[in-house]
Amino acid sequence: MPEFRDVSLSFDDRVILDRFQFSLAEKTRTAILGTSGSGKTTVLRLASGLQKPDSGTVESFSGKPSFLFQDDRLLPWSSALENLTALGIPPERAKEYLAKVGLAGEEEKLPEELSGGMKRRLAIARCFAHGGDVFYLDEPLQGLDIKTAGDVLAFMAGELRGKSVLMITHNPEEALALADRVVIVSGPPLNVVSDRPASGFSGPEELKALLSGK
Amino acid sequence: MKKLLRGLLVTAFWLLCWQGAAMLVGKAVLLPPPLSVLKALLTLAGTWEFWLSVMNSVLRVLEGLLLGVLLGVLTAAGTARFAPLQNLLSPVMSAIKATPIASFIILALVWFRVSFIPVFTAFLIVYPLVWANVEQGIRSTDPALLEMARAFRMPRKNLLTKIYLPSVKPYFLAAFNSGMGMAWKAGIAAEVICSDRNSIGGALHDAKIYLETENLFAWTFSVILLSILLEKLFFRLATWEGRRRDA
Repeated sequence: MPEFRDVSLSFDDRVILDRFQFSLAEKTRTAILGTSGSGKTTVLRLASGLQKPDSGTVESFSGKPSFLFQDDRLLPWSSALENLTALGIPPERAKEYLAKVGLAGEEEKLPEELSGGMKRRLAIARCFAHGGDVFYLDEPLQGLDIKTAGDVLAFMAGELRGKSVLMITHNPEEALALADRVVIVSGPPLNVVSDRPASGFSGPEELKALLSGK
Repeated sequence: MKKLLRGLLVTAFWLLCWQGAAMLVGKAVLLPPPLSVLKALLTLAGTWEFWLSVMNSVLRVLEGLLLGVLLGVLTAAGTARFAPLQNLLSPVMSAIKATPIASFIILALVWFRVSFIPVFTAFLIVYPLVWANVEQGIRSTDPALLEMARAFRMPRKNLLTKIYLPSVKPYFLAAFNSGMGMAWKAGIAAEVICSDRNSIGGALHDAKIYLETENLFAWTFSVILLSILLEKLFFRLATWEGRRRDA
């Protein structure tokens, strides 16, 4: 079972995690909500193995992982299509996923020729075209306008069904639409404020209230 | 059009200055007038020895350049990857950079046959330059992109062609560009010092010995023209890929 046991981590003198305990379940979609700077992205980096803890152990999900980074991390000199095929994704599949996020016809454009929202959708297309059993998503809908966010959210909900997901967000709507389990954290050092099934919330308002500490 | 006219006027001004200075000096051995230099250049260009010398010099410098680029890139890949190798080799780089090129040329006179000395000299100029720049290019590759590649388990071939090569390219081009100009001049200097037959430097050496100042000027002009030509050619090659993309 994927799990954090007594995990501690500091950057310089800042303690992010202090003997942190946390368990995740396979085939469950978990959203971690918290204010920015609480250390929630660090949890995602530790869970995916991109970051090693100072002490304690982290057990990752099993299966092939895929990622959506908060800062997109696109290849600036490669076209939208090449950004996908560079990972070994077959061109046909890459085109199919670009179309799914509304980027049909933009295949040959460089990231700098795309708007911020389009770059985000390109990163989303890359994440899901790469596919896998485990998805690590950092602020998935960041920078998308309300209309495209709705379409992309529906697309993502379909892709994430039956997968193991760990998602970081500060957006309650996004958490309730994509996750089965919602964990609210504060920090640093990070601690869990609330941990409930998504169905246990009456709506985004209740989550917002919890987030603001009321 | 306006730019061309301005260029012509500027050239005419300096040619007139040169002519005036030559008349003031009054001795062609010290400063030949522009017309007699042009005549000497045209006479030279009509001989097969001239073209043989040009070809020899260009080929030797290009050989050294290519060798320097190849070894420079390979060494950079090694030293960027393995810190102990970097520690071991960095004194070599410092030594090459600090040693006067004339010392190397004279050492090379002892070690190699004459025709290889310009190759060796051009190599010594280009090698540390390409090595240092490419190593810096590798080190400044965006760590966020490298982490992305690791996270997605990007195929190794693509890691090289889609991340490392585009990151290193501007560093490499800068080194290549300045390396070529320097290698060309150093190569000719090596030919002068070892008075290599059938080479531009050898001809410069002979012109000096026999006080043929017109020829000295004429050969110098051919070196400058060739330098501009090589630079233009290189620029074409470097931007070729970019233009293919836009097409």
